[in-house]
Amino acid sequence: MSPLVCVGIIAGLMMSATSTLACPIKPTNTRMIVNGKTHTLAFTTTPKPVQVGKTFSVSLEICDDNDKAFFGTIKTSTTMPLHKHGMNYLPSVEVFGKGKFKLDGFLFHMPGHWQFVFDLRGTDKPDRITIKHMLQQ
Amino acid sequence: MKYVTGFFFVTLLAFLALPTDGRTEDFSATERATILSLGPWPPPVTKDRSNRASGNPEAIALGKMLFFDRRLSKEDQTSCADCHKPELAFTDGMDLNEGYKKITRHTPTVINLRGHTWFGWGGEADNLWAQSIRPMLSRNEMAGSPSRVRRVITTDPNLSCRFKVAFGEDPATLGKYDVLVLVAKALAAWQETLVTEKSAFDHFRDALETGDTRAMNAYPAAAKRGLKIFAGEGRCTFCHLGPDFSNGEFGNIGVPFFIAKGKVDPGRYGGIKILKKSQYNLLGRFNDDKSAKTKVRTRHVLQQHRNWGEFKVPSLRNVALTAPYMHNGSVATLADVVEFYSDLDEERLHTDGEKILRPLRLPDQGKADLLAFLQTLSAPLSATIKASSVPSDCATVKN
Repeated sequence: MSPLVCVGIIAGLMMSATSTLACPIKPTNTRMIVNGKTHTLAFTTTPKPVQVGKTFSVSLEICDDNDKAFFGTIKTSTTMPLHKHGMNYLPSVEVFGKGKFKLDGFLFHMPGHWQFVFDLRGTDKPDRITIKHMLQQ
Repeated sequence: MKYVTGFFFVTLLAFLALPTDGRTEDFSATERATILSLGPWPPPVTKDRSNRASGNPEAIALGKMLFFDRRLSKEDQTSCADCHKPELAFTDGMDLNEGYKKITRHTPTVINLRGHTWFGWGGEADNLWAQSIRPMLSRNEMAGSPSRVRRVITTDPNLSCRFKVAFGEDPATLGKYDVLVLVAKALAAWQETLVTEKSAFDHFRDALETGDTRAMNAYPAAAKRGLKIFAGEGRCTFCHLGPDFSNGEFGNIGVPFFIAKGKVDPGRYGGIKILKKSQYNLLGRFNDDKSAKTKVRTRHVLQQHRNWGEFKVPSLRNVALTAPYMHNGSVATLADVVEFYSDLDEERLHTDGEKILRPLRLPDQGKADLLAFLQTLSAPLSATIKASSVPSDCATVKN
């Protein structure tokens, strides 16, 4: 194997490793950045925008205040605070990489004000991050 | 005097045009956006990925034949079409029908089911072919069995031939559950083709989008006023939304769900239980979609206490043609439905937070207008679909 090919493979491996690192979170136009007490979270939905009655998934990247990837567990609840009811579905959480998570199985069955709550647990800095979402028809 | 008279008539005409008599400009920006979100219609044709027969002309033709075939029921008594009567917009016109025993839920239409995600008043099925199996096997309805269905298909040369053409498999080589599921998939493929044309409302909605004043003016004033209630203060579009006029989910609107002394219809609560146990759900081996896409809802649906008394939010398309109403057929006419919502019994509604449902308290004119709007949601089946039949060499096969 030529040295050039070796360098290429090593560079590829480094890029791959870098792409799995969520921290520090970099602002982009396609996601929302929200700060909790001890963590910062980047939030985006697929598809975007969310539609009433259609399933969607949520991608999260989470870092703590030392720019370390969050390695704990996430519990999510999604409600319409005014009506005091939640979804008809319980999303699943999949770890996608260091500090990266994909939550699948969301569905908002009504237009109006919804609220995501993400409880970050399993570390010495438990945190709760809330995101408000106005769903149009 | 001439000028005075002229001024009087001009003033009178201006006065007559002033009240909210269903003019398009009476809609607020939010109401216009809501109205536009109720279309366009019809939705784009997409195949059901869970059903290999979806969109297959041979399977559609087979499904159409089977829909009218009484041999699928015990003692050849009942076909799908005996309750889903084409001449009654594929309903039965009754509150509660009887198959072999009294049925506790009202027969819904099978028109415009393409693209739905939950089927049955309690959402017992997550796909149309599983929903098509349910009445065939229900002891109260067709009281059939997988063995009976397989026997009908394998012993009728014409059906057997059509089955082979549609699925590329000889039913005689398949087990009873596989034949049952493929029969159901053919039935579903045909039902998917039962799509209505544009209604008077759809023409108005399209005209609103394109700014076609003449077409907008053709829509009755009473219907426009009713639409304003529907999309505005009535908040009907909280649940009856999108081109299908349904969010596809479930709600408790306070219709009693007692079915006999000491017995209740558990609604969505029971529906989820049945769904999760069913071998025909989208998580099972009969789902033809090997990706995870069609499985998301079923995998994540959550049974909750509040699901008691919740029933499917029905589409309102053709609603004027599908009386009586509600999951138990307890409301006789569409005018009665409007009365029901106008005088809603808040005592029966269980809610902790801000009420989603509240009595509309409509004056008589408002009730008449809302009714007039709902009546504009009717349309006949697409003409191209009505004529659909596939010539097949199987037709010459003798029984």
